[in-house]
Amino acid sequence: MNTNAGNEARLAAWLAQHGAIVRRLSRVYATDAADRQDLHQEMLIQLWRSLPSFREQARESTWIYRVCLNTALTWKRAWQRRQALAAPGACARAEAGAVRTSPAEIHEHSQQVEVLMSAMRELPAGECSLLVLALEGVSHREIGEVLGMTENHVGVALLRARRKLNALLQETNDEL
Amino acid sequence: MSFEKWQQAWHEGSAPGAGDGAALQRLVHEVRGKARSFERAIAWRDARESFGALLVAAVFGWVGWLNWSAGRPSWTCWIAAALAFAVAAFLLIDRFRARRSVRPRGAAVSAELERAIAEGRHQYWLLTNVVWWYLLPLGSSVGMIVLHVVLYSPQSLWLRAAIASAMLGVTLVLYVARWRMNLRVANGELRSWIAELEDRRRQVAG
Repeated sequence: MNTNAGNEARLAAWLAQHGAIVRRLSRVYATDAADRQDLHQEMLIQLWRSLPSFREQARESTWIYRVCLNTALTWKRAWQRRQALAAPGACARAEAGAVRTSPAEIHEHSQQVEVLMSAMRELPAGECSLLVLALEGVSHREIGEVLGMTENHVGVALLRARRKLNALLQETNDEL
Repeated sequence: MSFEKWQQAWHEGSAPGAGDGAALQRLVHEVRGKARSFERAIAWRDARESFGALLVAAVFGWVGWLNWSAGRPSWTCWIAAALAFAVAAFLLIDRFRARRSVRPRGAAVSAELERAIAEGRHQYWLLTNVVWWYLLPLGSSVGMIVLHVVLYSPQSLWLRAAIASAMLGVTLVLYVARWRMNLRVANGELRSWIAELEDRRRQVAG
């Protein structure tokens, strides 16, 4: 099997098993349908480009989380530039609240998750990434490996992030 | 609602994979095609950036060779070609280095943020120092040709002075515009992007 065919088979296997991770992560870091599609595509391209440097010692899920989060955290630049051009002076909170979701996406995710994602987008990027991984059910140790933090630090930072998230969700409930 | 309930809702309704076998194959082929066209676009952009300087080096080198073959003074043309070639080489080496450093994206998020910050700072350095590595060598290259015209052209002194002034004037206007544009990008968009990345790195580091 040549390298390209091998890489294609591996990417297909990854997407069959972990495709939902890429979709969920692109939903958290992009607010509207077009941006989600762009980010999702960008994550897939970066996964493909990263395949030659993937080593068997690494866990597939850890690798996928790393590539997708790295892409999301650097991709936002283009998104913010477009947002700034479209609506000069719009604050992050207003952008986070202006979530437009297609009917198919509503079907896929419950409204509760939309509320959760909106609240998460209001948090700093580091805390948002921690919460994404915790919600995915990733262990503290693996979160540390993905983000480059110690396990103890993950525990403390996650506790703080969960408190902030709870406060934001409470605020949203009061508004509703 | 407890965190465990949120976790449950998070996974609810999303199928684990990305469709059946045929759909997956289509998706993988599409990703591969887009990755290739992305690589081609980057390679073309890099080639285009250095092509201008290479073209200038080739033209000045050719003029130098014509002069040398005819037994006329050619040292100004050789210097002009060498300066333009140095700019092209610098651009090519820098792009090659950047492509090598960007490729692997499977590093930990904190390490990737460090890399992105370093890359951002390098871009900032390139933009704010464009005078030293691009404008001055290429400008000096044009200056050498102007000097050649002034020293060795058979035309009258007035005509030589007019040609030299026009060449220097056009070069100066273009270079000042380029310098201002680079500074605007560096001190606006790029600086705020680096600050944002540093902020994210601080958040991840706690």
